[in-house]
Amino acid sequence: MAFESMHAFWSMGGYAFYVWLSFGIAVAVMGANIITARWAYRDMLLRLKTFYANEADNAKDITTP
Amino acid sequence: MWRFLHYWGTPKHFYQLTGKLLPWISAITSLLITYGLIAGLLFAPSDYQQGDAFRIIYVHVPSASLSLLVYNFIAINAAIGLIWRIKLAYIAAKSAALIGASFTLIALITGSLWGKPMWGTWWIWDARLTSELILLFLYLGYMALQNAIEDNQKADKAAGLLALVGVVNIPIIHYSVVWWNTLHQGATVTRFGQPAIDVSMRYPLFALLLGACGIFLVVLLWRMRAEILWRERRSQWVNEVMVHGV
Repeated sequence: MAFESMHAFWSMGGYAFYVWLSFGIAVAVMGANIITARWAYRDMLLRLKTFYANEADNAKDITTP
Repeated sequence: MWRFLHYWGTPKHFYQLTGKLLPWISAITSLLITYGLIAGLLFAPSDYQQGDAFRIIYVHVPSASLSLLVYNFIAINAAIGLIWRIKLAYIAAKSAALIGASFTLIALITGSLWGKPMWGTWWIWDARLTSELILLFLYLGYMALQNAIEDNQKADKAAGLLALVGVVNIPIIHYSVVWWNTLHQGATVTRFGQPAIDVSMRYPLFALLLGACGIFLVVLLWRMRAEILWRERRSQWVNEVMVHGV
């Protein structure tokens, strides 16, 4: 370990604000990217289900005399 | 080789292959990032000049590198799409834009947070910082243009042309610290010969660099898979995917 205590680790030699804010922002932005990519895929599946349901309804309307 | 590329380059086979690859890429990425963060934050020694503020390198360098790499990826795919009219290339370019812009934003913010304690200023209009900011605007412009045009084919072509024009900024960013007298330091990791960074600091950096590549791949593949399903929605195979599960 490069630090003698947990306090020394958290204080980062007096640069805690800059170091932890940098890591925090990077984790938040990357995390948001991963989550929104998963959501985009899940939303697409729902959108496709609606699309196919509408297509089936339209087909039924055409075939019904 | 061409047959192999042609086979896996079709949306259907690409979708099936990436479905199998994604869990593995995610697992390897998690391991790399866990190792990189633990080694970089806990075990790498303090820098003799910058103290513990140097640890910002572990988020700044991977994000700055990926900001350039992703733009090159977009430009190459745009060129492939424009020349050979390969649908998947356009989908890849479109899907990579947001994650590329995110890496650029992180590079700018963490650079600013590193600059304040080291240079005494949050921002300076030097060549490296300004060209990186222009890169962010290029990403935003690419995404705006892609979303402004409703017709997919026209949007792909217009945004692809913009991406190709903007690629001129990439060597400017990379060599700005060589061509001009900038406040930003010169190359540390990619210096020819011996990198100007100790092994104990370098390995976590490489792990996080690879981890950032992994995050890019994971996000890219999820977005590409969603885009493929929508663009191919009238194909029989997408119908089968929806019926039989993913």
